[in-house]
Amino acid sequence: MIIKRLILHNWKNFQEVDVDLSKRTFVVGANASGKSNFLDAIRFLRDICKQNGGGLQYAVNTVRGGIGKIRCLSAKKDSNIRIEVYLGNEDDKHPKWIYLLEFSQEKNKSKGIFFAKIISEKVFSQKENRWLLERPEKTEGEDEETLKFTFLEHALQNKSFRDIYNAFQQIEYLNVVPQLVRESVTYQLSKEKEDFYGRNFLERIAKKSEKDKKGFFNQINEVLKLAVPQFKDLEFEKDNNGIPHLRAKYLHWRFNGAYQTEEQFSDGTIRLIGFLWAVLDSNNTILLEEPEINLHIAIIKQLPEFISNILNRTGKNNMQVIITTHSYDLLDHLGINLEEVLLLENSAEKNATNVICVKNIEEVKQKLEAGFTIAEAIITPSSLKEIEKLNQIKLF
Amino acid sequence: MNLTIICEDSATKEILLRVINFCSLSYEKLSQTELRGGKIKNNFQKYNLLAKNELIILLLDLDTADCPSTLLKTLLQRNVKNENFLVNIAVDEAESWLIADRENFSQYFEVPIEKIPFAEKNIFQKGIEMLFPYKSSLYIIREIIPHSKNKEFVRQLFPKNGAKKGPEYNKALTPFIQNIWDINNAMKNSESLHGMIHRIEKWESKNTIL
Repeated sequence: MIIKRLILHNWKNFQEVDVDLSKRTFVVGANASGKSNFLDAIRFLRDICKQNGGGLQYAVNTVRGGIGKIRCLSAKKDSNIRIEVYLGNEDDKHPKWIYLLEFSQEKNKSKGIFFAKIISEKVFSQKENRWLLERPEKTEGEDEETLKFTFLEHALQNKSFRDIYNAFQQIEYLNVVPQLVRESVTYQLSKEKEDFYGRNFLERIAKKSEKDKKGFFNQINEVLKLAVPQFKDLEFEKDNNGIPHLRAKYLHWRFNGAYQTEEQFSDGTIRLIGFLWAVLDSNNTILLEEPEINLHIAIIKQLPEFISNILNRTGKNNMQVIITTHSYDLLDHLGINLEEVLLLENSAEKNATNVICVKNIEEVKQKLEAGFTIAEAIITPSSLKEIEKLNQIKLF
Repeated sequence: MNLTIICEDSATKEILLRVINFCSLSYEKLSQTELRGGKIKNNFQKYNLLAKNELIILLLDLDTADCPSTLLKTLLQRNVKNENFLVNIAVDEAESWLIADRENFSQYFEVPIEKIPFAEKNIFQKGIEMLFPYKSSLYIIREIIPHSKNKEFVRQLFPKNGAKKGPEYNKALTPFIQNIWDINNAMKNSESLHGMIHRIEKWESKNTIL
């Protein structure tokens, strides 16, 4: 089961979004167009379902600093925030599930604190062809306190739609920052937290069984043999303090090679290992932030086909990869189809950002018909119109 | 002598490597450059200059140009082609060289052989070539591959909405190019492939490498 459609209302810089998502989706846009904000809407669902301390208030206040940081600045009369998600298998004509959550900000008058209040929470089941949940209209005993919590986050109340809970809980976000992976100190700080930028990447590996670990490392080593030829025998080990490390032999350092840990690995190597681990290990929705960073152009060019190959392996039915990218080389793959690319465009009229699937952009379709590649057709509309003036700014 | 190969994508790179191996061409160091056809054409004069110092084998698709010799003349812009610069223009694309090995292509990709046209003579070319109603790579993946009994090949190669190739085009073609493609058989159906082999062998016989 994958996320097939995403509808957003007043979410960060998006006033209205309604897009279909493919099993492999590329999100393209200029800097600060909101690519990460778009992914954050999906991470938000994961935060609600997070085990040990997740939930709506955690997702809104603890992780994102309150409604004020989430709500679209151009939101007018209707200032509620709404997220609606359609879930199903890749080829399903109709979604198996629809989950809708609408909330707004409320102030606890006696304590003077703000919290998120549910305006509507709905669940539709295709199997039963009806709405299983319609809060608060069709639920009893609702009050200000119950409307602080979603049914989705409660095991007892989400029993009839546990599939949705499981799908959201397993959403993964990956943006490995090599500098953080290298610093052992950050491991202790982030051990208990959700830290997708650093040490938890190694901790996730540590939690795997020896058999799984061995299998994955064999596959990662196969790829690294081609991508980083001087790199050999990547292994996993824990030091005396229980801190996980990666270790590999670098053949060009000494005649017989010399072992190095992740502290000495190059940025590109660390990011590549993080990427490979995520796609090989997962069978869920994975959100990848600019996987091209630090990677050689020859590797970037191979990524779309590599991802497609993994998505179509047996046992990866629930896997979906949503990738934000600026990379011309990544999008230049001739096998990427129009339904797989979403373009983020700032709209001056609405003072918000539009998300458009490129299959609906006439200009792009015309360029493709004229023989241009998707990269050629997309990068120009997504680029900044007056960026050349950068060199005319008087800085001194 | 060092060898640089220049081609348009991963599949054509594999084709070049197979041909070089077929010709038993030896070299000191191999460099590979993959660029879109337009960029190769823009850099054409630079490659010609670079060929003073190394062997350069370039593989370009004829695409919509009338014939290889006209395209070559246009690209050279009245300059003299260096003898170390081996320019090969596939008619109309390198993919047509693969399907020129009709029997093996049919067997490997599990498509009925009657779906693969016979080579024929075109007024613009010297010898016979595999000719298709439109761009050969597109014709192969749109009209021939869908007849495959192997659904995995269809998934990997058939282009979806707006894509120019299938999502795993290179992955599907590479094993065929590396292990199955019979160059001798393909040459019988393609004068342009035959010409390339001849060009490399002629250069080899004139030059002592290493």
